[in-house]
Amino acid sequence: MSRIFNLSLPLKWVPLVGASLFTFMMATGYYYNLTFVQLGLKDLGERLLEMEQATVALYMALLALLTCLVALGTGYLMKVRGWSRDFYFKLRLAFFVILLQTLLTAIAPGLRSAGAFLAWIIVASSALGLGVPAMFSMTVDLVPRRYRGHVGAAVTALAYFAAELASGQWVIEDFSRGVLWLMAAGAIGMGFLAFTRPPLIAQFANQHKLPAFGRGRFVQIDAHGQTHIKRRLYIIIILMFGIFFIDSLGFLRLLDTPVYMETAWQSPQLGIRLFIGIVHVIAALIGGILYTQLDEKTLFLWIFGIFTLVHFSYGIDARWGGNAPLGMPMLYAIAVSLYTVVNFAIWADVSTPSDISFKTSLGVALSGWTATFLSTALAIQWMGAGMGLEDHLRIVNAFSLLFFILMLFILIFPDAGQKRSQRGAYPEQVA
Amino acid sequence: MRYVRLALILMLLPLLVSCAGMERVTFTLITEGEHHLTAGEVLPGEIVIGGGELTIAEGAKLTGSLFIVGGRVILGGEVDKNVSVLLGEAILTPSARVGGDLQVSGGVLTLAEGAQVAGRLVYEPTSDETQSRSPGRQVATLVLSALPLSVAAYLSVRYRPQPLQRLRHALTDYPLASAAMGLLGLVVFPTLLLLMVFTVLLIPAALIFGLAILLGILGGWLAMGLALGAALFHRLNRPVRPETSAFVGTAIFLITASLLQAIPWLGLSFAGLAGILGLGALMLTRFATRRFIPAQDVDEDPLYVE
Repeated sequence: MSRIFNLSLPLKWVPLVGASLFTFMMATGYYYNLTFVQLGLKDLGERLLEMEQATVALYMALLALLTCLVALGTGYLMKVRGWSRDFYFKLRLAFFVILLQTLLTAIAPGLRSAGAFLAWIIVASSALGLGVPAMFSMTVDLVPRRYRGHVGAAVTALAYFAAELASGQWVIEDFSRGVLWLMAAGAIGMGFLAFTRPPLIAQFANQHKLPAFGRGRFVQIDAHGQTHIKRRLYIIIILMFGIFFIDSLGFLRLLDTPVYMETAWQSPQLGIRLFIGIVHVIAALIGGILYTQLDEKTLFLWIFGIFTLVHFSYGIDARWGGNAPLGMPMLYAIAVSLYTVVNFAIWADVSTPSDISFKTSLGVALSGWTATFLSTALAIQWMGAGMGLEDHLRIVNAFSLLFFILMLFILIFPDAGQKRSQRGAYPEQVA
Repeated sequence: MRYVRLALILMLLPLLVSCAGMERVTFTLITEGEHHLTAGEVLPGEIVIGGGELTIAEGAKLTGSLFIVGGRVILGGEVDKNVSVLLGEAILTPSARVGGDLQVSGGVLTLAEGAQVAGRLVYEPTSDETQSRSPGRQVATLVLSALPLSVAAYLSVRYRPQPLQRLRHALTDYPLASAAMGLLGLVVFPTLLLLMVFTVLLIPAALIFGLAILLGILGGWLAMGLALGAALFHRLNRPVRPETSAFVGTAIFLITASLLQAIPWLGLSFAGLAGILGLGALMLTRFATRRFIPAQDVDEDPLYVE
């Protein structure tokens, strides 16, 4: 049985404090990304700078693309220079990123021209791109392998719950005020840890050498001591890309459909937003438990399955006049929470301390940011071509269904021709 | 259970209506919100209330039948055909007129004096109401109602023990995973079943799938009985045959579940938790066809000093 709480044994405080530090750091970062970056910038461009919707979307796509490139470059450099194993380096880089983002967040609501906005986007994408390998690669230093699902769940639950409750009106001024004090406090704390080097940090810095921390769950070692993951890593990147792409492509359209936003995520009623927030929390906890218990393919099957159901439901509802029942955003929240948990846990589980910076960048950048870039570009093109909501959702649904069927195929015919790994959800199959 | 039952009823209704042999069928399904039919308004076709509230004012009219499977209906107007109350609440005010039969087989009915029913008034008391008549009969009903599933547990463990053992293993060794999986299934499956019904083409598949889930949940209950029986006889230090332990355990589990129904929140929570755990174990073992083994190595726990 997976043990989370064991009251009969004394706790080791260092790993617990490390995991908590990681949880709050990532939750704050993700909350910033969810609110300020994804929604605040859209508001800044469209409302304050009075730019065309398509132009703002183009800027957001540029942000995604630049972030992807910077993350890949930084991750690769960290790997070849050996900084991937250096906790102090990651801490200092994270401090620099948080400091830069705090300054950028403070000046963003004051931007008054498209040129300034473009310059802001370029600097912000560099900060985000540096932050991805720096922060994600701290997983091997701070989060024990067996608790990565649980920590991912805590990060997801905190970020989404706060994001749901924080603001009913998605305006950059509110987002900026909401995150600024949090980021300033985070920058001070991170600066203290990075430059004063208290003894606790020295202990964190050595944790990746322990067997319970360093090597990821999916990394296998052969008789010669070589690690093997490549094939699985590529499959996971493709599947995560699919999830990000489907989520982003669908949500971009829902975002522009007031009936679906005002009855759910942007509802003026606190009760509705609280409900969605609680659903996010429960789904994250479910995701955290299932991540450690299930084969990742089964989990992906569930996520694609729920996305298929969600988009099918929205498609039917759009056809029938848009009654917008709360069950639809509820299912959406479940799917999003599940995959976010996976996203926070899986990249460390396909890595070793030496290559986590690059693999994390590869994973987060190629799946997350590239998917965002492509889906944004596609959504702009479709909207420009006058595609209706129903058709848009039908295509997103087709993508979800395609990935769902692909997952079913992978589960029914595991590794098509190759013997499945001995460790998996159902090893009886192999025997 | 209630949602699965509701989904099944909703799935069955279009099929039942289509069996009437009419060329074209119109029915209105209400699942949430407040709806009002004011005087002079006429709503054609059958009406199914799965949730929310429908008020039919005096002078308003439904030309078809009214099926109440959830939510609340306040009827002050006229219904040309039958009114069936399966779950939910029906309030017939003095001005209400029912052209056909009024059938009540569950839920709550408030029939005001003056309300007219042209056909028969068919009232089938629920099992709770039946039981409340006499304590002796109540105990007998309780034991008898537990008997079929207890016998099923006995026979299953005697002749084909693996499926139940797999479920029991998932339930007792991985309760958190079972609960998480069950909760996910509880939210997703009713929606899936409902959407399958909307496609029309998938109605037979939805029926089979729904029945399989119901059977699986029953299997989960039997597995809980099996675990309870094993733990009980182990505690009593009395070795018995596994099938006997399964029989006794299932009977105790079911009788306890029935008794707890008398306590509003506790009964519902117990039944809900048992259903969720059973459904979760069922999914983890892929309908009891495989023994569940978690994906992650149970390696050293760095958070505790061993």
